[in-house]
Amino acid sequence: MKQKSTSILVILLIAIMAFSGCGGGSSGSSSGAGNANAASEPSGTSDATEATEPSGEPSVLKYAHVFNDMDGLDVHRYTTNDVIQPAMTICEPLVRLDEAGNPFPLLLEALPEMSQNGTLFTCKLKEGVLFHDGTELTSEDVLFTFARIFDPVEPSINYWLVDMIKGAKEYMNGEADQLTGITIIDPYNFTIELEEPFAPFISSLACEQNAIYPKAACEAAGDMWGVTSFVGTGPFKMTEFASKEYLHVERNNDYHGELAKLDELYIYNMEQQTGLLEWEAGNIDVVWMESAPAAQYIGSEFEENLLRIDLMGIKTLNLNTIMAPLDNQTVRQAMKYAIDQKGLVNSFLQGLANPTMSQVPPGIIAHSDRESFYNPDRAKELLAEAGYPDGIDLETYVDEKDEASNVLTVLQEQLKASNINLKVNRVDRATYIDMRRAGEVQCPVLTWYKDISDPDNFLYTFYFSDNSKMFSSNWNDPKTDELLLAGRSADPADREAIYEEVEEYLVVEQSVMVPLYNPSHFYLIADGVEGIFFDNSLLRFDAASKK
Amino acid sequence: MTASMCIYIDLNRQPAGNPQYEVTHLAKYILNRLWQTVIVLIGVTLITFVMINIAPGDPVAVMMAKKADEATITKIREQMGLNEPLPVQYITFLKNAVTGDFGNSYFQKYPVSTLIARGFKVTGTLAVGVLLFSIPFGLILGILAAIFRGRILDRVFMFISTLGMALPSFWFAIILQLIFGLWLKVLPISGVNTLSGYVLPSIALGLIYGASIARLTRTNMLEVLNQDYIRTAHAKGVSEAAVVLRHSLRNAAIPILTYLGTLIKNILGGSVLVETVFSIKGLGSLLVEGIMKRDIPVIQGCTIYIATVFVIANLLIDLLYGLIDPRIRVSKGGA
Amino acid sequence: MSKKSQALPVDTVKFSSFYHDAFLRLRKDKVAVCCLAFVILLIIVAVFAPIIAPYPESYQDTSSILSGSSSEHLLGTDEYGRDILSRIIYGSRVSLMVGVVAESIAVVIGVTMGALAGYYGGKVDMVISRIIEVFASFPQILFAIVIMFVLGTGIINVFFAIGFVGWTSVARVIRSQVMQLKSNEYVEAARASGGGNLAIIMRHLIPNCLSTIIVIITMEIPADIMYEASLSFLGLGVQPPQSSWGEMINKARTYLRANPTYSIYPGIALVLTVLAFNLLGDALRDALDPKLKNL
Repeated sequence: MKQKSTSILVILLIAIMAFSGCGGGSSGSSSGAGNANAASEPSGTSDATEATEPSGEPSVLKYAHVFNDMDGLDVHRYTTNDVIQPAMTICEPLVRLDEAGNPFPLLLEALPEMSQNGTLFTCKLKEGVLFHDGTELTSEDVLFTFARIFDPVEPSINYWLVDMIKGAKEYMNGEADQLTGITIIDPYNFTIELEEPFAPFISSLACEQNAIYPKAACEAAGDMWGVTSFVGTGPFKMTEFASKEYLHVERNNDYHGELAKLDELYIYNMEQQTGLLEWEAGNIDVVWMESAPAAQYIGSEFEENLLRIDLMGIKTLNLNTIMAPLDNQTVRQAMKYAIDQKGLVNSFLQGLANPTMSQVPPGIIAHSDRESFYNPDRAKELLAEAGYPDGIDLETYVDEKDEASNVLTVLQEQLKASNINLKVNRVDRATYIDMRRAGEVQCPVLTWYKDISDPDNFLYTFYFSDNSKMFSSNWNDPKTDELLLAGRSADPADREAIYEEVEEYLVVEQSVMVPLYNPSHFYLIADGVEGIFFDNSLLRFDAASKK
Repeated sequence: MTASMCIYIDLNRQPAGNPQYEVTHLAKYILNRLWQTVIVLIGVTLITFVMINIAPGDPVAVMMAKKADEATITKIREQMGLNEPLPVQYITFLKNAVTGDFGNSYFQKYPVSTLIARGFKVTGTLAVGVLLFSIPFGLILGILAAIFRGRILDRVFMFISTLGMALPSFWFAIILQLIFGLWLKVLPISGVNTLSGYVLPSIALGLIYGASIARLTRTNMLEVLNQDYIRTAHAKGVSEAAVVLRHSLRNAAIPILTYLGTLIKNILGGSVLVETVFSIKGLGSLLVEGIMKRDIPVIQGCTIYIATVFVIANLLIDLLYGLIDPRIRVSKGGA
Repeated sequence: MSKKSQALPVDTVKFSSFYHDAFLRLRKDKVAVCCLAFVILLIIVAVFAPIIAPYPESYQDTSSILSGSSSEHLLGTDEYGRDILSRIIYGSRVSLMVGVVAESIAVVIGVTMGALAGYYGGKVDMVISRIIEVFASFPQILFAIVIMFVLGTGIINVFFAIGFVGWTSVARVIRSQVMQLKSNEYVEAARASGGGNLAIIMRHLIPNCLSTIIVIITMEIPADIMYEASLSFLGLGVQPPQSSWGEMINKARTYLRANPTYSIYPGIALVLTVLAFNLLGDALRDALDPKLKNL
């Protein structure tokens, strides 16, 4: 007996030692995210209002978002916020938009001067603006950047934001060997000429996808631009980029404007749930979330830290106008009556979004406050009129990881009340994008955040005949095209009326889509963090600080 | 424990006793296994290639998600060599695979081999962590159960082990994350910047395998403990501990070696679940994300790599096994 | 025991009394009986789900979103206001179907390949064994994911994918069994009396592997259920509004604060089911063929 018990004790002892060895002596440093020494709150003795005061520890801000596509930083190669958000801390466009949505000069001395006919913009760069590698910003860099956007071999994916620049299309097609639309006058002065007047052009210049790259550093980096090397004029400069994991930047002390208050900034790609847990544990300072998980923080001990940002964006149910039965206008009208936007928002969104019946978000001209048409009985009537007394069957596809998938789950149930049977196929993103682009999805849910605060961005992008296939709308209508083109080149005073007309036409009369809601984003912000500027769905940390 | 976890030992064949015969037979066995490995690897590349090219979804379309015209897409496809006929693509792929060059990821701009190396560092460490947890856990649990065979403790331990085998790794991972990460705050919730970040994932993933090892150990220990030479040792007055440790452990442990191959394969596969919960960027996540985006070079590289690791691990284990136990050599060498 | 007529061939008599004995042995094991009862209960619940479940699977009660246990919703509701208890009940259908369908596919492919390899030996065996090794060198779950991306998502494709990667273990064991059995006397006798190879395989060898097949199936089913739960957890399994335990656990993660039990209950259902099948498999193996203890 005694022998047995000693041997058991020995084994248990070994087990305990093995386990504590496995546990690792490093369990003391509990921060799973980033620098072990910087994660915890700084000592209370430092005066946190002046960034230049030598406090005991560097002020480091950590921001977590779901950025599954944060593969690189080169905004010419990607379209998503996953790339734009980290990149914009480092690179800057010529102008930016302020809180009211009006452009102000960033790298320019003043806003570009527009010629009488609206096609020529004269620009003057600020002098003495340095890139992070010490070289000065000149007109050469501007020309280089736009030439790269329209590069015939590998153009920017977002070239269409500025392809109204004269000579852009020819240069991209290889017909010209220079970008004629941009003319350099001297190192600080240049002009941009457009094919035709485009009223919101200056706002287009404010898009982060049009940030100015340094010619020397960018050419030198070759394929590794935005991967191992990324240099700009921004308030932060890159320290380390681990693709799909995080971007680590530090303050640029030679910044041409007001210096950032933070010493360092991390932007993490974190899964939603992980991000929330990390924030609650105090390892992350700011975390993003969508409406659905946000509701659980209302009424909780963290309610004070919860910030809601109503976005200038939209979730819309696009209807495929060449796929039966939605090619029938009456059937499309029925869809208008079959959807309860309020009910949708009160479902998994728990009321934390803005139901809408307008394709243009509030705050942009041509937005309409019209009420929802929800009326299942009317929907059934219309279906019977159209020859479907027993209702219709629809089948659609959605990217399984997108919030749109949740939207369709609710809509599926809602539509039953109108005898509409909706089958939802969740597929991977690649398959979905493929099908949507080929115009084969019957009713895709579109998510769109504004590139510029202009109705053109929400109407022309989707419903102009050349563009509509890509979003599975397949809408091809001369009247629509005419109005949209007119709106692009009209005088600013006349534009509102034109866009109001086409928006009403598309939403109410033709029911080419059914608007659903304007999404909201939510953020949990740790105590002591201030000064973050929320530019729609993007965050700017230029003036952010952390106690 | 599934049937897939063991090599079926054909005990009806007679083991050879002649040393000279054994040496040449050993050489023959090794050569045979190597040759088989090569064939299997080629089969792996073929299947991977075929499956990927049947799958719908154009990677270029995903990249151009917002908007691009056909001309640009065709241009980019040309660049990536996606317009060549399939057999040509396969040969090129095979040639490159042998040198470890899987090209560049479509989306991340890095060469695939770099991404795989990065992912493997993480998943490999995780695998080591799983082994470090599950093997001692399983051995100890199994040994204790065997020592206390038939008594309450035995049933308790075996219940723990049975329960462990039924616990989904991702569910267990969530629970561990909550308890140790959020409430007790002793271990990281996510990421593997510090070594402690591997603890919870290793436990979450390793519990099932530890439980299997426990049962395997107990069964084998019991068989061994029932044998004559153990009874002799007991009769001679050797202590229980010595009996357990010195005499039975080695023989009982050999089947665990067999299990190791399957264990490695399961870790490589199952790691993606745990990697998701703990936001770890390992090989599993790399492959799954590559699949979601139709990042063909990544998919091909990862699949081949994972299968190769498993095949080579199996080869090494078989060779090791062959050295230890002559019976295996004869039966498997002939197949 | 049961009276059998003398005219029956010898192995059939052995057949029925063998299973009879096995059943008696099984009955003695209380744990096994419990598990069997649980499995039968599960099957009943799955088949009669529309009658047993308090709410339809996709019914959204928008007035109570993410609520905890209440008199209307015994286990609470999810983010759409759907009753969790009902969805767990409906989820059992998916889990059981995975077992049935995936294993059917795996058995059909596996038995065929294994029997052919074991019986013919030589080159056939070599080729088939290599094929088995190739398929077995991919981690099952990753392989299933890749297959699903070829086929597309959807629960039927999940079943197929899981079955398609799971046949290797069946094949291996059947191969060994057939290799052993083919040297038995009755096979020689059958050949002598003019039976073709195929007939021998179908009529003599495979039926004698039946107990092995049963054991393998019962032991692979819990693994299949886990795979389906894992795939659904990764978002690749069921389509909305169908429910699966794995998918529920995945969705529940984001709402841990609002309704913590949302992730617990499906997990418990999963654990109990897998546990029951595991223990049942063990007991069946012990009862039917103790020689398979090494499996």
